[in-house]
Amino acid sequence: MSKVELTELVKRFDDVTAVDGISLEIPDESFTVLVGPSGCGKTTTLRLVAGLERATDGEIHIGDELVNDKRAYERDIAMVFQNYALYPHKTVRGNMRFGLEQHNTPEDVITDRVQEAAELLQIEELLNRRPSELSGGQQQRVALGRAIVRDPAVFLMDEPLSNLDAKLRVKMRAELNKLHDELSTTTVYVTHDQVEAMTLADQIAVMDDGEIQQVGAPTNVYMNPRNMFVAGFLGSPSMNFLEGTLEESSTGKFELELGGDTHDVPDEFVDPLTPYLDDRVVLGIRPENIALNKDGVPANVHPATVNVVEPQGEKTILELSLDTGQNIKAAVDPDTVVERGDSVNLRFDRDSLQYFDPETGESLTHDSKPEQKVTPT
Amino acid sequence: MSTEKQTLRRILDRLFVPLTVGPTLLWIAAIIVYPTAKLLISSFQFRNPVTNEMEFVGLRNFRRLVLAREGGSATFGVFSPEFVAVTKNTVVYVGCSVTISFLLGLGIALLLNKDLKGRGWFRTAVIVPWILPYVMSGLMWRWMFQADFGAINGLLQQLGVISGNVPFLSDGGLAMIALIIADVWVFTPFIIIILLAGLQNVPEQLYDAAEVDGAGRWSRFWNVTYPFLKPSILVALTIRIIFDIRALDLVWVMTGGGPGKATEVWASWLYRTAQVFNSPGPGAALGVVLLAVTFAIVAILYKVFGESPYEA
Repeated sequence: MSKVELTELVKRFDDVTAVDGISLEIPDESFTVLVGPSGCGKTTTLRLVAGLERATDGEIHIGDELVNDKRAYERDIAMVFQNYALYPHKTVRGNMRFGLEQHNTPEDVITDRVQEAAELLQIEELLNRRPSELSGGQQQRVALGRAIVRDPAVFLMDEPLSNLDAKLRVKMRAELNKLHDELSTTTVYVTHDQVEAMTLADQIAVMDDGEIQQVGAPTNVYMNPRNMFVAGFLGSPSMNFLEGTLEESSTGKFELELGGDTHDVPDEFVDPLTPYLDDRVVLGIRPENIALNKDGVPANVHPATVNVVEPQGEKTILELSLDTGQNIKAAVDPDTVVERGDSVNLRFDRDSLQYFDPETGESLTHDSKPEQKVTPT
Repeated sequence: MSTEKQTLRRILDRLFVPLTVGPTLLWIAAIIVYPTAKLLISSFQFRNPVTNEMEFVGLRNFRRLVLAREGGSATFGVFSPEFVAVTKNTVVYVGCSVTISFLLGLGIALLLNKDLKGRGWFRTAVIVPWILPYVMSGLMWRWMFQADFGAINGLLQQLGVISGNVPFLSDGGLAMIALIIADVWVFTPFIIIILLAGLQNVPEQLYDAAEVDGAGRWSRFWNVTYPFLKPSILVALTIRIIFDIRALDLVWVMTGGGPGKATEVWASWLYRTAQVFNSPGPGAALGVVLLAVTFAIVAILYKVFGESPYEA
């Protein structure tokens, strides 16, 4: 078991900067997920930790040891690849043994470890088969098994579930969670799937454009995003952004002028928003924090027209256009009776509002909410 | 649809396979089965020089080629010195050329598979020796090895390796070496192309996995590259060996099998027997032996390299 520490890590390929000076501490025994869109540098970061790429600049520590100049196999890591990367001509047993054989592990230790891992992953009956005879889920287990037998300080996983069908992915996700509970090996996990990230992680690092945008406990990052990228990336459907001008009303309260409609800013945000008075501000509100009010027009509701109704089972997604012309999505209870063309009033949950600078994308209210401490489960 | 139309459709459906596969089968019969049968039959015949008729002579052609003769009749258990010499030459020629060009080709293919500057240009350039007509390559090498004004004599003298002119092609041992050099030059590109294509099939992630698993260069080659390369090695070696066993062009143009019988191989011996000495029967018998040997070698190659990495 070991912590992993990245300091000002940079990786350039010719003139493309894939990883742009990231610093990240991955606590011992934690499950840290690097999440971000394609090309954000998450896989390159993982390959840098693995030793499959050499860092252009910066430092990588595994445990207390600087490993920049160490080869992959000297780093005490094991990796699970997106396409599993099983040796097709070797049996499951051969695949699991290979790493240990290369390290001249004694035969009895190899046999024991392979047996243990096979039992843990319930693949004992597959040991003499070849990868081509296995289903995707079974291959996935073998790939995990190959990593587990090495008993490494750190597991590195590169989108290991992305080749599985939706149902199996949910199942394997739960098993990975269980496995981590049992083994407690420090794990760095890369995915572009934010649901996977939210469900697996103790610590989530959202990446974009080669930089880490925010690090923290998943719920905390979700509830309290540092900028518009993080706010928009986490959550499905993603957060709604409404841009308007911040004004002071006759009663001294702040309101956001949205072009024909106004939104009252809750009092607790007056302080952080004061510098933006008479300036442009983006309001962020998640679809699930929007309630539908078909009756009368009490204060602080926003009139809108329903464009699309998408029932998804546990919730129904509505695409609406506000009377101001802006489009917005809302997630409502499945039993809500609403049709295309209906005029409705939307109410924003006042505890879930976010405000952003439209130019930098930075959250204006991030610091006014408390950070949550990350503790490995 | 009426019943007649349905019946017609059923008949046409049934004719689909014979109509599509039939012509192909006939064509194969014409170009493979007939010549092979003709070869087999001829190998048991001898042309009567008086009547010009092909007469059945049983195994006499085989006996005369393979066995030593004493007082006009073949002796069982003792091979003819000519057969032994030609066989030895063929083994040396094919064995050395194939081995050297395979190792060289594998090395170059591995090199060209890496991300090197000018790789595209080099990949194209390396094919040139192979696309030249073999006869032309043979002529070119004959001139280069020429004793009085050949480029190789000139080069070696300038480098101080030799002091006087060396008659490469009229010295028994040197002529074989010259032949092998020319053959390697001509056929290595073929190996490179086939193996390079095979190397592209190796999934990159397997190298990563092997690197993480702690496999060194040799181990990565044996455990990742080689299993994926096996099908390509099979194709390359099979075609290469078949080509070399029946290769006549280079030998005939460069040495004509000489000096003496120093570079006479099965292919040139066959040609000399059948065409130059106008003996189709013994020539065919030699052809049958060649065919059998080739089949045996291909069978062995399939046994060794025939398994794809994905097969269970």
